[in-house]
This record gives sequence, C-alpha cells and structure tokens, in this order.
Amino acid sequence: MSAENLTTIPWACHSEPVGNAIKDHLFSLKDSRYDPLVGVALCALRNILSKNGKLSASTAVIALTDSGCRSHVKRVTDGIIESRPRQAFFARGGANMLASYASIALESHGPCFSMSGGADALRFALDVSLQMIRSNTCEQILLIAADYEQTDMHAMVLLLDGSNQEYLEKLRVQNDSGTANPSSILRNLMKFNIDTVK
Amino acid sequence: MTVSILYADAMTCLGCGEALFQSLLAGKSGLRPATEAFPNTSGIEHGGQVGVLADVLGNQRVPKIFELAFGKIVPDIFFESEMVIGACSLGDLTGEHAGNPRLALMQQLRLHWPKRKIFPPTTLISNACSSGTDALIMATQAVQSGLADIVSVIAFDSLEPGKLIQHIALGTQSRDRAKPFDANRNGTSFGEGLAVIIVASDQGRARLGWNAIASVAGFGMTCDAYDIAAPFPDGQYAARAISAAIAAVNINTVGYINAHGSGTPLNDAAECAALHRALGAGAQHVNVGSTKGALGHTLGATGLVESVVAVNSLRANIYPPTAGLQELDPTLALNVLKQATLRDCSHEYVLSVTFGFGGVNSAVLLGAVSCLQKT
Repeated sequence: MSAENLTTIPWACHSEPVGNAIKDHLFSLKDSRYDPLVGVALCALRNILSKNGKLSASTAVIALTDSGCRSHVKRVTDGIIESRPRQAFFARGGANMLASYASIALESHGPCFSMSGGADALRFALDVSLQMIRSNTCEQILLIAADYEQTDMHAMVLLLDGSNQEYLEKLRVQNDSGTANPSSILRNLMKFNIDTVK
Repeated sequence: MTVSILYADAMTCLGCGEALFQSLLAGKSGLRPATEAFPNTSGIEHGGQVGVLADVLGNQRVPKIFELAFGKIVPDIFFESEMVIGACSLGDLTGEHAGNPRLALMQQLRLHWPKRKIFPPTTLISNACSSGTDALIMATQAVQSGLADIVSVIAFDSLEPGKLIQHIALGTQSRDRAKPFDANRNGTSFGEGLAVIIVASDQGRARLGWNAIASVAGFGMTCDAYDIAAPFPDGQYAARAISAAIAAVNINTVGYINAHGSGTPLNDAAECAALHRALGAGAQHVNVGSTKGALGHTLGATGLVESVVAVNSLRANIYPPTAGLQELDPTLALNVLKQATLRDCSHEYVLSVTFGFGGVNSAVLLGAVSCLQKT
C-alpha cells in the first residue's frame, strides 16, 4: 500500500526510508543513538502528528515488531564476538525502544511497551488497545508496527481513540501465517479495508 | 471481573518453589562472584556478583533454562492455556536466536508442547526490565476483555558473560553486590531466571478445577519520556503507575511492596521519591523489600519473578527481608525490611513495582485469596 493511499485516513500513516529520511522526522531528541528502524517509526509518527496535531500527554504507545532493533542487536552480538563492550547499542537494542523513543519524542507519559510476534501479536495489541480505550486507561493510543523486511524497513502507525473504536472492533486479523510481520499485515489489512475507512 | 492467579513459581539462583521462598525468608543470597560463575572470562574482573543458574553453562543459555524449567516449575495446566504471553528483554546474545527472544520462546514452546494439545496464540512482551510485570498486566487484560479464560505468562532471561560486560561498561553492575536501598549501594547484580504465573477467569478456573491462590487487583503503567537509561529523578511518572495500581483499594490494606530496588544509586532514589508521591505519609510505614540482593536482577524476567515472591508472601503470611541491605540510606525514609516480617491480618494486598530502560514504570497489585472471597 502506498503512502498516498493513506493520506485520506487521518489516523493511519506509513513510512519508508529514503536516503536520510530516517533522520528527517523533525523531532528534537537529545539522544539520537537509536536503531535505524526507530528512525523510520519516528517518520511515520511525524506524519500522524502532521494530520492530527499535538496528542494527549497520557497517550499510550504500543510497538509491534517481529524483527526488533536488528541493526543494534547485530552490533552488540558482533561486539561480543570481538570481546568489545558496545553499551550504547546494547542499552538501545531492545524492541521496546520503538515505543520508548516515540514516547520521548511526544513527551507522552502513558503506558509504553512493545509486543513481538506476527498476527497473534497484532490481534492481541488491537484487543488490548480497545480494552484500554473502553476502560479509560488512556484517551489515545499509538500503535506502531515497524519491521525490517529484508533490506528495507517499514513502519505503520495508527492513532486509536474513541472515534475509530467501532472500526477497530470490525478489524479481523487472520490466523498467524508464521511468516508475515505486524507491519506488513497491518498495511495489507488497511488496504483491504480502505473503502470502509474512507 | 475477577482475575485469579492459579499458579506461580520461579526458577532462580536460589532455587524454586517452597525452598526458594524459605531461603528468601532466611535472608540467604544465591549470588556468587562473576569470576567464579564465568571462569576464564576477561573483562569481568570488576563484575562483582551475579545470580546465574547453577546448571546452566556456556553462552547460549535460554534453551537450557527452558529445559530445566519444564522439568521443575512448569505445571501441567500450562498446556491448557488459551494464550501464552512471554516476557524477555533481549535473551541470549549468542546463537541462532541472538537478541530475538520471541523466536527462542516459540522454539522452546513447540519443543515442549504436547502434540495432542492445541498450540495457543503466543506473544512476547519486551519492555526491558519491566517485561515480566507488563506481561502479567497484559494477561490480566486478556482475561478481562474476554479474549481468553486461561492465560499463562512465562518470563525468562539469561546472563551470558558478554551481556555482563555490557552492563559493567554501562556502570549498572555493582563492583561488589546489589545492596538495595543501602547507603553504600553502587549498582545491581545481574542474573537470570524464569518465572511462570497462570491467570484465569472464573470460568477458566472452574474448567481446570483449580483454586485461586491470589488475584490481580490492579495495575499501572507509565513512561518517564525522559532518558533511555536513567529514571526521572523525582519519580513523578513512576508514582502515577503506582497510584493507578492501588487506586481501587485503601492504602492501609497494602502490606508489602516488592520494590524494583535494583541497588543503583539513581533507581533507589527515584523509586523512593515515587513511593512518597504515591503513598504520602504511608510511604514511611508500609513494608518495602527488594529481592535483587538475593536473586540478582533477572532482567526481563525480574518483574514476574518478584510477582511470584509477592504472591508467596501473601500465601505464607510473611514478607521476606532485603538481602544485601546493611545500612539503610538515611535520605530514603522508607521502612525497608531487614528481617522477615509477619503479614498483618489487615494486609490484603501486596504491590510489585518494576522500572526499565526507556523510562518504563510498571506496578501490579496482588490480592490475597480472602479478597477474592469477599468479591
């Protein structure tokens, strides 16, 4: 699904890196030692903000990923083989960094965590999101699905709140194929449902 | 909706089951020198003590940890789960699943899952050192939303020499040992372990025919949004997580707080500030303990390991002391337990708190069976 298709949906954005785009998210971060995938997720996040304006300070951030921060992890594992500490990459190599950097960029203090997996994780994340909105745990939730796909990186961000709750309830994630990552499943899901969303 | 805990156990450097809890009550520690745990390893000479499992050797440790766990602490009802939620930070940093704990979890579950049983949907929560607590919170939400009636949470993490070297370089590993809330604390003692908690709805509990041993009575999650490695100094956002967890109960009924209590100067100060913000004057009186000096900081498993300890303290009516604490930091003004302390009959709840890299704060309130009987 192209980014153009998504421009008509105010609460969904997709981002792919082009050249230095992973640094062009425009957030002012004092710590930019993040995995490249985090940069792609921040670009998608910036796109969401450009459509929706500033978000609530209690916005929850849920990251979904299969690959995690693969680049940083590789630097750490290579460092271990070479008996070199790579503490800066190590501290920023967890999958939760996809959510934590987003919270820092937004200065958001709501729940912030990551789920790893494919369709099972996406289905669960959507269910948890609905539960959090219904129980007033938070007004808004950013669902960030980001993954390395061979040599590319993709990130898809959904802004969920009471206004699209009804639509979310109708989203059906098919059983885990075992190969697809949450980002690609979500892109296809949104493409399939694009007419409904419009 | 009531979310019952049917089973809780942990495998740590101090053992598992009843033996683990009795050792904690006796103030014992399973920590040992890093140089003894990882002989002939350079770069760990100033690594103090670690909480590694005695029967786990080498760099690729997660498969052996699972093998031991399935033999020792994973009960048969685990395989009746309608959903499994794993928890881990990074897992092994060596081998085929280096830095991808979900793949490691899936491999181990498929290896041990009985062929005649349906393999359930499985997700892994990765939220640094709050992973285990957050997985328990997610399991609670899954039951509350009606997504599943029986959910198993399995939190695990490993400490290989290479990972210890990263923590030594970061300055988070103590030069000697974890001394939570101590005036002379200088870091934590990392370790490894695995914990299992099984939660269920009333229908799930009835289907299994098991009695509840405790309940999940509340929870809270926040993010400092401040720094990747350091907590927000005045603890205001951690306080929000704690306040959310205890919002529905009278604070006087919370008898014990199993603190994150890592023993790093920054963590313990921020956590103390958070407890004072959340509990007010009650912060000076409530029993506070940390198990990092006994079990080590088991990374992504630590939240669930400590929830297991908290559940056992409710069941046994006694709170364990804080191993490693010698001289309480006078600036902290907390009632940190130096000795095992009996649970008062008015204490119906215990709280488990964890913090993690990325500024994540999590708290889960656990209720005694007597609370369940009232509802």
